Amino acid sequence: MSEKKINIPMLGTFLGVIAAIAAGLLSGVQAMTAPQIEANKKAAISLAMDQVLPAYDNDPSTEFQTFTCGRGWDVTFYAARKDGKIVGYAGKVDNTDDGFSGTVSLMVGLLPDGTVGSIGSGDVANSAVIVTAQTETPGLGTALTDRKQQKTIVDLIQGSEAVTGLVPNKYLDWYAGRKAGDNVWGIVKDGDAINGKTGATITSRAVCEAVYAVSRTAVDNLETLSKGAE
Amino acid sequence: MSEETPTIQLPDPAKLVVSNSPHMRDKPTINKIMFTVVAAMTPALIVAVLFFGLAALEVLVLCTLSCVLAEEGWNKFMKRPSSWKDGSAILTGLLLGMNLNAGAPWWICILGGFLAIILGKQLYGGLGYNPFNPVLVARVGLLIGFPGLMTTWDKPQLGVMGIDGVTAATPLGLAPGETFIKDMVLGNVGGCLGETSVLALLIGGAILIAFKLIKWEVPLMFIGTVFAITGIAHLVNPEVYHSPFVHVFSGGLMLGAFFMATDMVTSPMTHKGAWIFGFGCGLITSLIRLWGSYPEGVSFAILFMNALVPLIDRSTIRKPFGFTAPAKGEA
Amino acid sequence: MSAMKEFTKGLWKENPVLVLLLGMCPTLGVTSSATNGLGMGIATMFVLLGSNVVVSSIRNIVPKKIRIPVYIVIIATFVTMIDLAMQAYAPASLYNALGIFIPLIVVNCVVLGRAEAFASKNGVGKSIIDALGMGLGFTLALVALGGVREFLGSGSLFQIKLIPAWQIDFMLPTSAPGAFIILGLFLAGMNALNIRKARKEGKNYKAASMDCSTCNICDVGEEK
Repeated sequence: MSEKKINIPMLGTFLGVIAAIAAGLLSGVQAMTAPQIEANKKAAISLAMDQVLPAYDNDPSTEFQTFTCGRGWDVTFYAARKDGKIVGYAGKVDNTDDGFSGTVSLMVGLLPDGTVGSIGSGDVANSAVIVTAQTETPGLGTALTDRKQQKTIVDLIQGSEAVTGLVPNKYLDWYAGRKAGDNVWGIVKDGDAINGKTGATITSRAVCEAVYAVSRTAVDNLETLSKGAE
Repeated sequence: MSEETPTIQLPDPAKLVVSNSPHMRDKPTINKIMFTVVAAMTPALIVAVLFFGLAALEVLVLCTLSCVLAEEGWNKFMKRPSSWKDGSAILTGLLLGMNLNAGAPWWICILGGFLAIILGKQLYGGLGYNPFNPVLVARVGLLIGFPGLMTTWDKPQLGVMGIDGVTAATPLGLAPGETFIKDMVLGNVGGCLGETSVLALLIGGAILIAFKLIKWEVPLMFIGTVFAITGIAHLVNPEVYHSPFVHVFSGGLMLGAFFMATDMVTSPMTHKGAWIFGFGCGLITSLIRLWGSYPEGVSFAILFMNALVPLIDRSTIRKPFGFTAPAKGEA
Repeated sequence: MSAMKEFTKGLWKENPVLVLLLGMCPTLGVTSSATNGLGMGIATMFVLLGSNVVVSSIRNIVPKKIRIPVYIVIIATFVTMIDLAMQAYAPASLYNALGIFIPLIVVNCVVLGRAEAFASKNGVGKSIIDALGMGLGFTLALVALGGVREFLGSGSLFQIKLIPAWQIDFMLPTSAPGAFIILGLFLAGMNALNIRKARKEGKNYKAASMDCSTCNICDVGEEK
């Protein structure tokens, strides 16, 4: 250190100048990337909707209604229309509070009557359940929530195409065709309604409760829903 | 960066390296000790095979074989003399088998054997140097590694013997604090091989104590502490917490208290230390069982207390155990 | 030191992860797969490059008293840029997997360590070489660690399953305890190799020095 005296105003100014340059640079980068980031977020939501909804030609993200279900969760329904007619709803429930180690968020594709859609049944080609966010135990709870495409070296060598659409998950696909009130819901051996995984009982129930809540809310508010949000 | 200054000096393998306590003493009897422990385990082994049939036998044989193989493989790799004949690898294998489900796939047994011997024992320098119980290292490794497989239990096939193992283990499979909704009773939860018969384990424990191979303070304090703490919890809120009898007779407590926590290498040398050690194991087990996210806490509790053993020994030891004066710098 | 030596020291002899043990937080946190390790490594390398260049070019005008705050501002700026850029252009899955660890590059010791120990004392050209070497060393270590953990965990590499029969994931290597175990094995392997090499040359192996008397990262010895 050569200078014995500390020139505080000079140091302050120097630091200020550096910070100002940094701020200027950052605002530039921010401006450059903001549209792309926004587009990415939109794309993520619409990708989820594409996956659970049948073919539609409106913009469901602008046409939604929110209800509070019996469990106190907010369920948001996005209406999908084709030629002006409602072909299905995407029911979204976020942060249900009964997962094993946190919350579960999922999106459910519903037929106009509140039935959970199924994979590959005519009009509702893609309708199904997808879990959008979870913090369950990897490998145990996530077996009930993940639809992960696994590519193997064999696929790579043979050059086989990746599966388009949703990757099957027997626990999530189990809900297809079920409707609150009409079918048995549960993870217990309750008649034929068995949909649970040993060792991941709590996750099984959390997912089941959330899907049920979406269907139940839809069935309860069908009239309001079908009028659409204007 | 100067390249000349040596700051980290690795121990010279040619010299005698004295590690932290606990030290395995009187080496000539390792063999005898190991086979006495195996004999003490025999009742539990027989019961396990009776309950679970040939599947149990397969698990036990595979675990033992893989442990011996891992031991010999490591000895070859490190150019050390063969050591499987001292029986320690065989004992590790049998204990590991007792900690697995009868329906465990063959590769779980093999992997467990290698985890126990290599990761749990040999990486630390071999028998006597391992700070953690090798069997529990393997069990916890597998539990973290395959949470699904390691928490699925086969149902015993031969009715109930001794104290009921099936129904007793079921409540522990549920998350603590949950009320028993019928939803939750999905699948029958049994237990791993060595957990089911408390009676056989007690006989084995009695043999070990009679031969003075284990310190009786450890299991007594371990089980007693669990009983006391879960008892208090049950008295405060019987709706939420299971009865202390369920806790004491279920899960791996008996197996852990008699065969795991008392491992000579990884438990305290002093009697006072054994009291503390047993109490700590019981305390942590109870805490995990009552409030933790895993239903069973015996393995974690013992491993945790294993880590504290040097500290316990140091603070309870009264006079040097015939060692030469500690190296300079040691307090 | 020649330019080549300057570059290669980061790869092996002074590898930031495996020898200097700097930046352990991202090393242990994100290396659950080879892809994550690669993403983290490249992001850190960019930050390192940017901060080394800027710090080196303004090294003569920065007052010594406030050099650390200045470096932190510079590093934070580059990290935020990388963060925004990744959010915009990197695959969403990678960005989500790295998550909190991208902003945390600010406090990665590798970056500040190189700024203080090297860039502030050397010219721009040398600093670029140093940043590239250190960044590459960091990336390679992370990819190796991530690759080993991913392979031991599920038999796959870069999300491609190499052993199709391997159906049930082994969660130990990909979990936090596994990170420590595998890193420990890496360090042991590194030492074993170095010891063997030294023995062949008839020397005693000496690990790279890391104590305060020889390290120049924080200028302890300099301040009067």
